[in-house]
Parts: sequence; structure tokens; C-alpha cells
Amino acid sequence: MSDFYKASNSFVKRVRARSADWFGRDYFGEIFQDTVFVIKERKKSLSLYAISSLLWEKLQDLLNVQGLKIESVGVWVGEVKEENFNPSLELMQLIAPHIRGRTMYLTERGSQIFVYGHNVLAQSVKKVTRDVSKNDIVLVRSFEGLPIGMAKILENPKKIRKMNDDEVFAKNLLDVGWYIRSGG
Amino acid sequence: MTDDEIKIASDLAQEYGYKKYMIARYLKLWGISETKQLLESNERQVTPTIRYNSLRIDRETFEAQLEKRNIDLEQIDWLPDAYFVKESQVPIGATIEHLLGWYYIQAIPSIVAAYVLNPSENDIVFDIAAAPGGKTTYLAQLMNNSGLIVAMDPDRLRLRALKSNISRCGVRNTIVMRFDGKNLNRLPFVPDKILLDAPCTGEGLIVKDPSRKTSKTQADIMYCSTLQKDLLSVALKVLKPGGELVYSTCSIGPEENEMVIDFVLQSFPEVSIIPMSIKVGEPGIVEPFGVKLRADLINARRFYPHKHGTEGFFIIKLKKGE
Repeated sequence: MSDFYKASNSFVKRVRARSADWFGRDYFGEIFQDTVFVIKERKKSLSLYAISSLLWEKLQDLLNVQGLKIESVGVWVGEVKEENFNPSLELMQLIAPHIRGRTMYLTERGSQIFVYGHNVLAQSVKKVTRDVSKNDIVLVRSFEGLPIGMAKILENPKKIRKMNDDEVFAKNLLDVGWYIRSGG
Repeated sequence: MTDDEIKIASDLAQEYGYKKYMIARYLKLWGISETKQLLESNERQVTPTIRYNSLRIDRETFEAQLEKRNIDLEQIDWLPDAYFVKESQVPIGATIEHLLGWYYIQAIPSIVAAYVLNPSENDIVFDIAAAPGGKTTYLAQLMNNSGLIVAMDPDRLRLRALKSNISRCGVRNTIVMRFDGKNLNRLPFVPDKILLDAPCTGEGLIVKDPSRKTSKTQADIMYCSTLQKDLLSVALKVLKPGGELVYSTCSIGPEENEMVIDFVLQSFPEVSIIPMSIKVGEPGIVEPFGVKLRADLINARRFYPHKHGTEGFFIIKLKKGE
């Protein structure tokens, strides 16, 4: 059996439900139309990709050729590991324009630090939308409003002004600096 | 070469830190004056260039945002999407806009190679030796993320960069394979277009990487030339009748360029060399080292640091008969 195969409806349904934990609700219907979801089995996880029907047709042809090493196809949606779903940056960038609320804005300096893979210190926070609570996962935007990643809020946002500047307010879960750190 | 010419080659090689065989070839190809201009230009930095990525952002927002960053851009009038970075207060590889895929740091000839292939939205394109992905991501942009690109490279580490750049730039129409282009005939469908940016000695990159002044030998040129002939031959075999192929290298030696094309096309009478939409660049060399090659090689374009302010590069476009 090939390490690439079409994802079952139930698998996609589970991923969509998990993605809602990250982004507040399921946005797949808005961002993926006429899409085939395929899975690549990796050593310890499953990678999910979203592809067009043309790519799916040609991928099937390629999978019939013995020994081809296909690395990726279409849009990388994210990784599933032990029932946990970790969205890709690509998914974050696709969904970001649709998200209202659930957002943390960072200062200029805080934005730069965040895209180097660091957590968010209290002094780095410019603004948090009112709907955000402790333990929420939020979209992180730069001081200019550009979507730069995702983070988990570790403290009650209402208490942020009482925190020390160098206390960690949110944990970095995903940031666009990864593109460069991963070899891009 | 005369004794005088040998001495000049030795002196220039010593002065500029090159292997002597390289200078001797340059002198035969271009004479003393132009060789000196080339060597001098290789000591200077080229102006950095970036390519705007329409898959991520509209042009107006892109230009306004980079202006806010105090990045001074100048659009290149003959090459859509390409900009000189005249001045920047920040490293252009470290901005959030770069991380978001709004632009790709890419040399002009590399942009040209993908541009002149001119893929359409319904094409199937093979991108051979595709990593790190500058040309792949531009092909996807030119195709408006439609059709199909099969991007292949045999090097596992370089594939990481390719996948990362594809993701960063919002490319959705690509299948990435760890694959040696020499095995193209194993693939089960034929491409409308092929981009073959062939592995080469990188002799044109000295302006960016001075270690190449001494890191390659004549044997390396021969090795690359053989590999290039193999890759081009198999690529032309699998190309759809009526299909088009762009061959490019970042080398300036005719041994890796015109002589490869001339040799391979002797076995492909149905393939012709066609003019490109870009008129910038020097024409191909049709009589290198006293060897007479086919005259239509003049339709190739050559880029040089001393003439075009770019890295050294070679591009040619071929069409397979119906």
C-alpha cells in the first residue's frame, strides 16, 4: 500500500472538529472547495493535504509507479498525531482573514521576538480581543495586524497589566518564522 | 595560447584568486579587456532583487507595506513582478512580509527562466532540479495556482527548503517528489512544459560566492556537461509534442550551455530553438573556442555581472515539433 491515500470522511470530520478547537470554529467549508483530502503516513504522524481533483488524478497515476518518493502535494493542512491535530502555517494563513475576535496583537518588538519562536511576554502584548480567556488558543497578529502565528493564553487577560513585563503571558504554538527555521 | 597569453592568464588568476584554467577560457571567449571587466564585476556585490508574489497579496498593499518598512524598491520595467532593492533599513530576509510569502528573494535571471517558459493555467509542468523553489513558486504564480507542477529534486535536504518555500508562498498546484530527473521516462504522464534548471558548476555565481573561484576543476565542468546532456535528452524525450522546454544554468561556460544544446539537438531534429519574449541579455555564443555550433543558438540569452549587474546565467527555450 502506498504511503499516500485518500482520507476517509470520518477522518476529515475529526480533523475539522479539532481545527475548531484552534480557530474557534470549523472554517474548512469556506477555504476548501472542490477539494480532495489525502493523507501521507509518516513515521510517527499523519500529514493531511488538500488538493484539487486534477492533482488527485495525477497523484493516483504517480502512486502506481513503483518506488516513487512523493514528499508533498497541494496544500499542507496539518499533522495528526495520537488523535491530536496540529494545523500548518498554511492553514493558519488561509483561515486568518475569516477570524473575528480570538486575537492577540503584539508590539513591534514583541512581533519580532515571536517570529523567532519565542513565547509572548506580558510586555509584548499590545492588545487582546475581549472574547479571549485564559487557556484559549488565539490568532497572533503583529503590531500592524499581520497574522504571524498562534498562541495559547496562559493568564487571565484582564490581569495582564498587573503582570511583570518579563512574565510569559502566552505560549508560542506556531509562528511564521518556522518557514525559515525549517530550511526555507 | 601564446606564451604571452599564458602569462596574462597566470597573472590575472593570481591577482583575482582564480584557477588558471578558468581565466584561460575567459580570455579565449572574451579577450583581455572584457575578461578584466568580468573579474572586476565579480568583486562587487550585485543589487539584491525580490519577486512580488501575487498568490499572497495584492501589489498595491505589497508596495505600500514595504515602503512603510523603509525598503526602497525600484520595479524592473522589462520583467513584471521583479524589483531592485535599492536600500533597506532591515535585512530583506527577516521581515514579516517575507515570512508571510509576500515576496521571494530571487536573482533576475532566475525569475526570467520561469517567466519565459510562460506556463498557462491548464498546463502540466515538470520542474526538474526544483529546489530551493524560487522558480517553482513563480511558475505557480504565473499559472494562478491552477494546472499542475511536478517539482522534483534528488537531494533530501534541498527538498526541505523546496517544501518550506512552496508552503510559505501559498502554492497549491504542486506535487513534490524526491526524484532524479534522469529517470523522467518512468513517470506515467507527459508534460506540456518543462523547466530544466540544470545542475552546474555555478561559475556564474562567483559574484555571490567567491569560493567558486577555486572550488571547481575542468573535470567538474566535464562531469556537469555529461549530466546536463543526459538530463536534457530525457527531458526532450518525455516532453509532449508541441511542448516547450526552458534550459538554464548559473554557469557562463559554453561547455555547460551552448555546447550541451548543440550536442543534444543533433539527436532531436524535431526540436527547435525559439526566440524568447525577453530581449535583455547577450545572445548565445555560436563559435566558442573556435568550435562552430548551430547558428540559432544566438536566440539564447546570457547574463553577466559586468553587463547586466546580475549573476552569470544562461537561458534558452526549445520547442518540440508536433
